[in-house]
Order: sequence, then C-alpha cells, then structure tokens
Amino acid sequence: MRIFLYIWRTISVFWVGIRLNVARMALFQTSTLLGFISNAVHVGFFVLFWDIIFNNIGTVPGWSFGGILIYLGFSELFFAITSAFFGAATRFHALITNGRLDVYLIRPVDPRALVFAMTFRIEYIIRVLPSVLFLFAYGWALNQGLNFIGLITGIILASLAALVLALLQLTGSYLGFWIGSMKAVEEFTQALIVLTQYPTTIMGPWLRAILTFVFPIGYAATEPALLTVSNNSIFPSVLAMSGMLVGWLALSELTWRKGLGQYESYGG
Amino acid sequence: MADDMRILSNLFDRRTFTLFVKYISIFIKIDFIYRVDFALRWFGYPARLLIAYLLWRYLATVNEDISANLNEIIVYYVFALFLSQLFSFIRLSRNIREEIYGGDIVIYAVRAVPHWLTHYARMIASVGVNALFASPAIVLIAFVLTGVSPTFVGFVWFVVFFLIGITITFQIYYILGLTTFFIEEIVGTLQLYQMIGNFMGGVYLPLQFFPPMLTTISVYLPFRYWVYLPARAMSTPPTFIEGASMTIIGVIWVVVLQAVIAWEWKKGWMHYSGHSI
Repeated sequence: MRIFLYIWRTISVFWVGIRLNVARMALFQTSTLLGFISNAVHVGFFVLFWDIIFNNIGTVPGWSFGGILIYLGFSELFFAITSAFFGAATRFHALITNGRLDVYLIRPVDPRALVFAMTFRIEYIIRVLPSVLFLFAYGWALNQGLNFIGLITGIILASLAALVLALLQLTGSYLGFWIGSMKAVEEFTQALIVLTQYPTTIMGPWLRAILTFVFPIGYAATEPALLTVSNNSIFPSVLAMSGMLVGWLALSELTWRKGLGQYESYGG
Repeated sequence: MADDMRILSNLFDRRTFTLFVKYISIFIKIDFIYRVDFALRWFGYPARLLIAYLLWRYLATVNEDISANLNEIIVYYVFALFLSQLFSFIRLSRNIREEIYGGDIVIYAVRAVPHWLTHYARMIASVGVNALFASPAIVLIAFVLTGVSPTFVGFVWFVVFFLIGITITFQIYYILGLTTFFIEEIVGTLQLYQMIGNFMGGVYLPLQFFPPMLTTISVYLPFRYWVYLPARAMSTPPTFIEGASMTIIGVIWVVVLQAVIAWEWKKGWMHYSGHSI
C-alpha cells in the first residue's frame, strides 16, 4: 500500500510540473518559437556535417547516410530526455553541501522525485519532436525500410540510457555527503556526453565495450540506430541495458542511503 | 556620429588605455583566485579531442588524403578545440543581459571607461590565464605526439588571427548581449548564433572540407577568425598574400562591428527605462 501511495504522490508532483511547463510555454510564446527554430538549425547543421563527410570525404564504414540520420534522431531524443527529466542530476550535490536538502527531506515525497519534478522541462522534449520525426522519416526513406521493433526498442533503450546516465550522475553527486562539492561530476559526465557526438563504432573494442557495458553512452544513439537499420536481435542489447540499469540503480540507492545516514546538514 | 567616433577611438586615449591595462591586471588577480575552476574547465578537453581523433582515424581508413594528412588534421583539432574552450562568450552575453535587465548598466554610464572596454578587459584576462594554464599541454599534444613541426611563420599568423578573432567574437557576443535593450530574452538567439558560429567557424569540421560554395562564402564572413584561421595557421601556415588579405578582411570586420556596437549602445540608452533598479 505504501509503495502505491509513494508512486501516486510522485506522479501527482510530476503532473503539477507538466501543467506549469505548459503554462510557461503558452506565456512565453516567442521563446517557445525560438526554441523550435534553434533546434531545427542545430539539427540542420549536423545533417550538413554528415552530408559533407559522406560527399566530400568518404563513406563511414558500417553506416549509410540514412542510418546516420536515424543515429542523429536518437541522439537528439537522448539529449532531450536527459535535459528535460534529469537536468538536476549533476547539480544535486549543491543541495547536500548547502543544506537545502533539509527542505526536501521534510516533505511527503521522495526528495529526488521532488527535485526532478521542479526542474522538469517538457519543452525540451516538445521542441525536438519535429526534428526527430523528420530525421526518422528521412532516414527511413533513404534506408528503404526500418526495423519497426528495433525502432521501438531503440526509443526505450535511449530513454533508459538517459535514466542510467542520471543514476550515474546522482551516484557521483551523493559522494557530496562525504566529500563536499562534486563539481567534478558535472565535468566528468560532460566528458562522457561528448563521446555520444559520433557513433561508438568508430572506437576501439575496449572503449566501445566500456561505453556499452559500464556507461550507457553506446545506448544513447549508436545501438538504437543499429537495431533500427538492421535485423539484429534486440535481446543482447536489452540484456546488457537491463544489467547496467540494475547495477547503477543499486549503486545509486546504496550511496544515497549511506550518505543520508551520516548527513549533518551543516550548510543549513 | 561624433559620439560613435569617440567610442571607436577611446582605446587610443592614454588615460583610458592605462585604465584598460589596470582592469586587465585586476581581472587576472581575480581569475587566479579561482584556479580550481580553470582546472575543471579543461576536464572535458581530452574527451573532445579523443572523439575527434577517433572519427578522423576512422575516416583515414577510407580516404587516402585524410590518411596522408591525419597528423595535420589532429594538430588542427588540438588548437581548434583549445580556442573554442578558452572563453565562455555565451556567459559574456548573459552577464550583459543581467546588467541591463537588472539595472546595473547605469553604474557604467558614470565611469571613465566604456562598458565594452571593461568586458573586453575581463575577457582578455580570462583568456590569458586560461591560455597560460593549458598551453604547455596543448603544445605537447600538438607537436610532440603528432610529430608535426611547428613553424615560426605559422605561429606569427596564429597570433595575428587569434587577436583579430578574439576581438570579432567578443564584439558579436557583446552586440547580442546589448539586444536586451530591445528584447527581453536572448537565450534562443545566443544558442542559434553559437551553432552557426561554431559550424561556420570550423569548430566541428575544418572549412577546407566544406563544399566550394560554402568555403567561398565563409571567406567574407567573420566566423572563421576565432577558431579556423588560427588553428589552420598552426597546422598549415598561409602564404603572406593569403595571410595579409585575411587580416585586412578581419580588420574591416572589427571596425564595422565596433560601429554597430556604438550605434546599438546609443539607441539602447534612448530606449532604456532602467525600471529594475
């Protein structure tokens, strides 16, 4: 019964967050419009980047141009989910070190859910949707067919990759219970995110394995795109992602509980 | 017009110049207090360089030209990524936005040093400290690890383009910051410009690989002075004629953009109510 109450309260908080987001988008229409244009230009330049690579430099082994467009679509989706839902993950350590965590701890919702609901930005998802749909449709047309099950699995994997990255960031942030400011976590995860810029297939086997089985970078866009443009079985990817999710979830929860156990809120 | 010319010639006024130098020294002292922030700023650099290296190493397997020039391309990226990370121009624009929106801009109206010069001094100090911090590692990676030999001519052109590029980029972001006089929110415009500037400036891809039409257009645009031209000069120095013509175009852009700043500053004040003070 307690778990249902916990889930219900968390969903309610997120629902309030969604309503506030929609109201803000309606109020600041120019900013919303600029957001759409900005994202379209951003995607346009990356399409141009790969177009130049394919036309002026040479093919990218293992990838067709249509496949790369699908890869870009997943990449945009991954960044949108990361920014929309988990923007606060890298800055969570600040709440611990300045003592503001106290304010969240006395409320009847999990502090982490509350922080994410308050920093949730649905517009990041909405403004990339036209670009993502365009990239998938264009990639589909060029690729002459898509693996539909692969596409759906890819969307789920990219979403879970964003969740696992947030868990990784949170685990680092929780180290703030012992160490203090964890700005280095922000920088480290930024460095990891940089590695999603190009498909992980360009990397050596060791680095690719680390980014597929330890860190979720391979599932941000590369693996979902490969599942969508090929007839590869989805099970190895689903299994690897499940293992990573359980591992980081356990580590994150353990660090949170241990950290809370010795939290003194001295900053407050 | 007389006011515009005064702002243009302000830097050559001896008293203003002395204050400008003092401001730089003050900002350098402030920057040195936050040394940890400087170290953190460069945390992502190896990852950016690694991913660029991996891409081009991969492309070298299918393209003989790339394979033959891989080391020069790596040297280019070492400097291009270094330059693009030296200073947060977006933060500059946002600081100016906060000063205008919050009313602090009024303080500058009664000071002897123009507003833009204060921010220019802050940028020069920050860039100087950052360059000092990172350049030993940059030189080591660029020339010792790749085996490419640096040339004196390339270094001279690097410095020339670097100075012009840093000024042009500062001016553009300053102009974007000043647009707060007329519109409330500038974040969307900044993101839009950053994408265009980075792409056309050669941050993602060296401009020599662009289609001929885009390469020709980029010659007359101001974007390539901050990253592409200095980074390219270190990997492949230009001839004297090429370098001189690029310098002239760059200087013309500096003058034009400074005139835009002067115009926007004057128009902005006429428009300003300072209601947030």
